[in-house]
Amino acid sequence: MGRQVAIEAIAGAVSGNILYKGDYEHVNGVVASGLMSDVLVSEEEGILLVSNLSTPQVVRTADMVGAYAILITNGKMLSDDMKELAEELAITLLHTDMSMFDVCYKLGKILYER
Amino acid sequence: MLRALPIGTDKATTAVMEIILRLKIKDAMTTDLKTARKEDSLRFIQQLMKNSYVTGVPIVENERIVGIVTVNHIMNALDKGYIHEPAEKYMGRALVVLEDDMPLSFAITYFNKYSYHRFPVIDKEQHLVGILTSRDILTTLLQELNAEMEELEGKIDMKIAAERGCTLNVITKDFAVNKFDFENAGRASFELKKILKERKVSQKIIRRASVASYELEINLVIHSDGGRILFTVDDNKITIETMDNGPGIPDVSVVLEEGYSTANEWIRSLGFGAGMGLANTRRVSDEFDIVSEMGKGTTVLSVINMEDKNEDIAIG
Amino acid sequence: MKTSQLAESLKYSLVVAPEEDREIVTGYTSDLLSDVMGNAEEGSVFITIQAHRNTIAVAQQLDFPAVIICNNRPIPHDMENAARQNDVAILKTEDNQFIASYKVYLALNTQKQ
Repeated sequence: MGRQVAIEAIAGAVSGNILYKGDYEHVNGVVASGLMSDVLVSEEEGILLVSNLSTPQVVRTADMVGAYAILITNGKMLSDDMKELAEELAITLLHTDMSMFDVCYKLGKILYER
Repeated sequence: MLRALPIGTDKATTAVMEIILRLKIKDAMTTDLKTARKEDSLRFIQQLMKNSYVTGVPIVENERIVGIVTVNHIMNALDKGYIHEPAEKYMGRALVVLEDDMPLSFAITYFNKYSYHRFPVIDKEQHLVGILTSRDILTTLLQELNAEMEELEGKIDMKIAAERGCTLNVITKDFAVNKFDFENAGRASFELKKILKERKVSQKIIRRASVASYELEINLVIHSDGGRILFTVDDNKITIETMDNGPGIPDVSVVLEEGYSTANEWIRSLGFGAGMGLANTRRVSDEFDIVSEMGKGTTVLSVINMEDKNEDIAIG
Repeated sequence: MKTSQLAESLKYSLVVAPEEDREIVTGYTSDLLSDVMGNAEEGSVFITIQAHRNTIAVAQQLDFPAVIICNNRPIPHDMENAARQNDVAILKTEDNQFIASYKVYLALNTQKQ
């Protein structure tokens, strides 16, 4: 895709909170999936990984694909070891109560309707 | 009965022996000495022990050690009521001392031979220069061992490289992976990624290696009874191998199909078991092989070649 | 919007057509079947890459009229059979979950206007 979106803008669009701020201010695209193997198929660097699964594995998978940020949806609780891992790997961690379905629409709007 | 220290036996490995022969007593001893004079009372010495957290106080005259007072002496003094007497009267005189230039192995032998907990250390001029306790030996040994380990790892890498006939610029890492250990799943792959980043490998290659490694590592966690993952990185390629102890795959061609998975609901609820692991791995690999035997285990091999004409790379 | 209309509008193929063409009200996007159970609304179209018989079981439990399988994932026979037996429609697309969700949302909400 190659379109850059500011993480702040994303947080605003999904009424989300930034729980940990990593190294990057923007992302280059979005992947929304709950399955690790599916995420690993993606080819872009610096994406936002959107997931309704809140486990440390999501953070590790995000690191494997060079994601810049992770957004956890559906108001899922984030464990401490998830936050710690995100800090260790310097990946921005966002959180929202919005459902994955609605989040995809909001993000699609920012990415495609400009 | 004290357990004999494993030194000079076939249990002591060469590396450890080298270290304890190389290190001197002066490398391990404590030099911050609390001493007393022979005129000082045992009560004074007892206070000194208490405040300084030591269990033995050398009695010194003209920089030479003439005796030693230990907690045992103090206990006897308190018990029998002579705590106010001067040290000279009750101090231990049959002293076993060490010389600061002796190798640490000597000290270990002494600890083995005598039941004392500490040895005063003297220099060539017979002056008291320190005290050596078993704790001191332990601390120093651990520090040295840590330093040695890194060097040894480097030598092992060279050795494996020589055996494989590869170029010398090789790194090999080997990790154990346990069944259902989700907390640690992905750690080995993270290490591989770190190594590749340090070697300034291109982003595309790092991505492929990460995917292959991570998928194989997760497979060990989810599907095997436990196993190992081994990486070899040289100038030409990255080799990732996994081997496990079971249960084995009945039909290898089936597991390579996309979407096929034997994962249960619990595993799916963790985001795994999409049935794409091996297919993903094969897709990103330049060479791929999988061999399995029921009841014995499975080995998977993935090789990713380094591109050699890419301006993204700076080799080494 | 009816299932068949949604398929038409998005140009997603109907692998299993509905016997009863029910109304789709909203969407639910998740790849985690256990996660869906507590949260989704009736009349949702289930957007996922989990091409598995269990997906149909969940859809049927929650009264989802249809399932959209993304990323062109192959649909196993047992999933197809389960869908026919339980009257759950299956749509298929090469779009990923993110794009599919966005498109479904647009389709459902544009229609309402």
